[in-house]
Amino acid sequence: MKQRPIDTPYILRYVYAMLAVVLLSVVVVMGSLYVYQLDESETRDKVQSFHLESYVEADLLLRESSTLTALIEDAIVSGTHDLSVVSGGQFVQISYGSLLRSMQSRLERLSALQGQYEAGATASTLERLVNRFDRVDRALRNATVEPETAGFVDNFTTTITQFGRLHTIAADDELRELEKRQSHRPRFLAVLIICVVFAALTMWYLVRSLGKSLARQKRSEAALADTQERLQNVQKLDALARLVGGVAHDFNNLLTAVLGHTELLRESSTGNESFQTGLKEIRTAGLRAAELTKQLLAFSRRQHADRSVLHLNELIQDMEVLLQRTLGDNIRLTCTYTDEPYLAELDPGQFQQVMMNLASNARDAMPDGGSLGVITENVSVSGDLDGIPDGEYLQLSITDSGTGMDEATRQRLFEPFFTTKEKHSGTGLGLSTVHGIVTDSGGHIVVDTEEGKGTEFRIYFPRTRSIPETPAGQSVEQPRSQKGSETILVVDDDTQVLNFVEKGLSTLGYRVLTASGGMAGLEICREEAGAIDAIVSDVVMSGLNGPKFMESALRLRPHAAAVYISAYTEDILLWRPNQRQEIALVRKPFEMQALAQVLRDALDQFEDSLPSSDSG
Amino acid sequence: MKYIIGFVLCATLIGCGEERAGDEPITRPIRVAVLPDQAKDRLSKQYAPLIEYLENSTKLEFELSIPANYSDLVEQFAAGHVDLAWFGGLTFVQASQRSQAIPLVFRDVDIQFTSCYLASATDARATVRDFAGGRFSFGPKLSTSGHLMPRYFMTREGLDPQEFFGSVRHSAGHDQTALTVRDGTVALGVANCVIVNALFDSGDLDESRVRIIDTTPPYSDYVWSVSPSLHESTRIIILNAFLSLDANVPEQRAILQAQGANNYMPAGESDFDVIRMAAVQAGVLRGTGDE
Repeated sequence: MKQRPIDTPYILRYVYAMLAVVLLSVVVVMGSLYVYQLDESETRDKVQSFHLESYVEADLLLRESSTLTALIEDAIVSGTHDLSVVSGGQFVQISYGSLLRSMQSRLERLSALQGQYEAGATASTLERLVNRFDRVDRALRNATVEPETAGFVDNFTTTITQFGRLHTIAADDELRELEKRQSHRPRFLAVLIICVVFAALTMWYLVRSLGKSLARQKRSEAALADTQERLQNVQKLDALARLVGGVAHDFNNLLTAVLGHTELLRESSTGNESFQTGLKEIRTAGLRAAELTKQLLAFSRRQHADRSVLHLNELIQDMEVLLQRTLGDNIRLTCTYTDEPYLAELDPGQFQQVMMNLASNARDAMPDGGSLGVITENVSVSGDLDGIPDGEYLQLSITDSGTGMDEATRQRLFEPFFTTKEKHSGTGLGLSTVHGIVTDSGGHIVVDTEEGKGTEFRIYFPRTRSIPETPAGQSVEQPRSQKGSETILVVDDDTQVLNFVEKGLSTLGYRVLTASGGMAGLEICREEAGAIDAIVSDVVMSGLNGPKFMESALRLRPHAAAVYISAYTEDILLWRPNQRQEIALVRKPFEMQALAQVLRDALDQFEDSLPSSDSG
Repeated sequence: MKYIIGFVLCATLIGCGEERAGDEPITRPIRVAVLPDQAKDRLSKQYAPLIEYLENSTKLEFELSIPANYSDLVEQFAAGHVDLAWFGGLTFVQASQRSQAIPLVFRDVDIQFTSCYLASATDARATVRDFAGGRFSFGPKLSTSGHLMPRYFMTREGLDPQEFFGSVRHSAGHDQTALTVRDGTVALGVANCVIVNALFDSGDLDESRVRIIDTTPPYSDYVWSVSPSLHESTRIIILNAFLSLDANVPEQRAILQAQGANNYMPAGESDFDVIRMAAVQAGVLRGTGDE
């Protein structure tokens, strides 16, 4: 059996959703960081160029400061201590004034550069540099070199060196930081890509899981709708069956009266031939009507399985004509029977139903004609043959040369209401009824089919070793006398039936008491002074029903024999089998002869079973 | 599922895990520690005027401590017990790698620092290579000028001290190295030139008994550095205090002289690239490729 896939639990789905959200958030954050890093790299490039530009200015300033130191040394060496008379020696001809102005302008340029960036170590050092230049500038204002002047210039030079170093260090730090970040970038990108992939996978899994869940839900809904439709069909058919069953019941009562009185008339008027012919026609029509009600009862499934031990060969032989008629002229029926077939125990009526259903199914599978083979065979099953238990069986094969079926159809073949026929043209109950009857009788049914190559139904009826009963209607026993003089109580709520039975039994010599219901019947049982030898009762009656009435009546009249007359056999289910005797049943419509025979048998059997002293 | 969560956490950490400097300006005293490259009392005396100047100049409080040895300084700094430290070159690159120490300033002499090879004044040998098979002394093992850089330059010249000299020992400090040379315990020693010159100037070392026969190529050594937890504004205040020291002001000139400096210069990471390389080569620093 295929196991239904387990649905992803809701909690897991929430976890996946959360994870997808988290991963996507990480992707967004990391993506932003990456973009920010790119932006930061650009900023760092700008900062680095600021430091390098400042360093170049500081280096030039350092050279000018060195030149100034040289001029001061010249002034001291020359002994004049007057800067205005020295000019930088042989190679550098420069006045200290222009040198100071140039240095001043460089400081201004450095200040302008620094102004574009936030305060830091370079800003405070530049401030110190400007202050120390001012000290130098003030000391050299009158062009005279004082003893401390050289120290001021030295100190200024040191500060320039410090300033230059600060910028080179800062530029170097920026470069190192940039390299460090760039070295992280591939790892960063790798993690970013992995996160994107995982987020995508998680989302995909989530969407797939939801999709599957939705598809499963749709399938469930479709299955539910299908089941509901089938249920409606069942309910519809059940209602129809009840209606049909009810109509058939009433019809049987009417037919009992019609057939009964017809029979009585035939017996009482022997002279007029045309009258007799008319009565015969009425009887024939009545019997056909009775056959029709029987079919209606079959449809309404109110049949009772009367299983008996049967020779199936004989049953099928009896049906051959009927089967051929069902199949039509363009389908050839061939029946092959095994010698001495095993006996099987089943209801002959139900067996006929099985054969008819299979035949009509085969006919539908062969719209252009073909052949239907029916074969009986004794088989012994051992080992695993289509799940059939080991044992001896009578195998019935019904093989057609029709269109066959595909595997999907084969698997659903016995499902109630499954049909391949057009809507409204088949009930879908035929093969399911076959299956039900066969399995109900302890048999097994197997189907072999292939598209375009026909279908074979093999039915295995378990062998029974009981002795076969003599089929009804084939009794070899001579009819006994149906007459009698006993007192019979007849109870039926249908007046016409009651009148017919009263008249018929009276004609046969019986003393007949009648009651049109269970309560009236009990009243007679209590008040009748004489003996009541038999009670004939309808089963389904308004008020007190047949079995209840019979139970009470037999308590009052324990020495009475009992016979039921019923319009449909399912009524017998109402009977609680705790009676001291088995009660014979005569199905409506019946002819007086049948009732009289059953009644006589019941009286005789019951009298035989009682001690003679109890009689009367 | 846990892998997905792991990725998310990693991504978040990488995305947000940026190291940050201290957020708040400091309100407590700034804890200062200096490299114990000389006797403790000498160091206390040497740094007292500088600490006083820093307090007056920055209006901040400073507390000086002298660690037991070079490693102790690095440990205390890593433990967050020190805000401002006077490191040697090697101890700085170690602290930089271990606890992101930020270089602040160094003396003008530290930019072009050298180590001096000392021999007895009476020894006629003129170069280091003349002392093959002799007894040799470095300074402390974690000393930049007393061990790391001299060894680095010797190795660069194809001279493996362990094989070249008859014996190699490590002294407890630069002054100790000079004294072992003077006393003839070793034939050749190498020490910090600034300290050697200071010893000559103070008369603790007699030029008639010890002489400098060679110096190493210049390198950066010694640096005032700060903890990354110190707020940037506080860091700039201290930096400015150092850079403002003016030799034209007599009190400040005295401070500079006590530190063996003419002035202070800003220090940067790249000033220590050579030392970093030497330290990795000597196996006293983990090579990370991006340090």
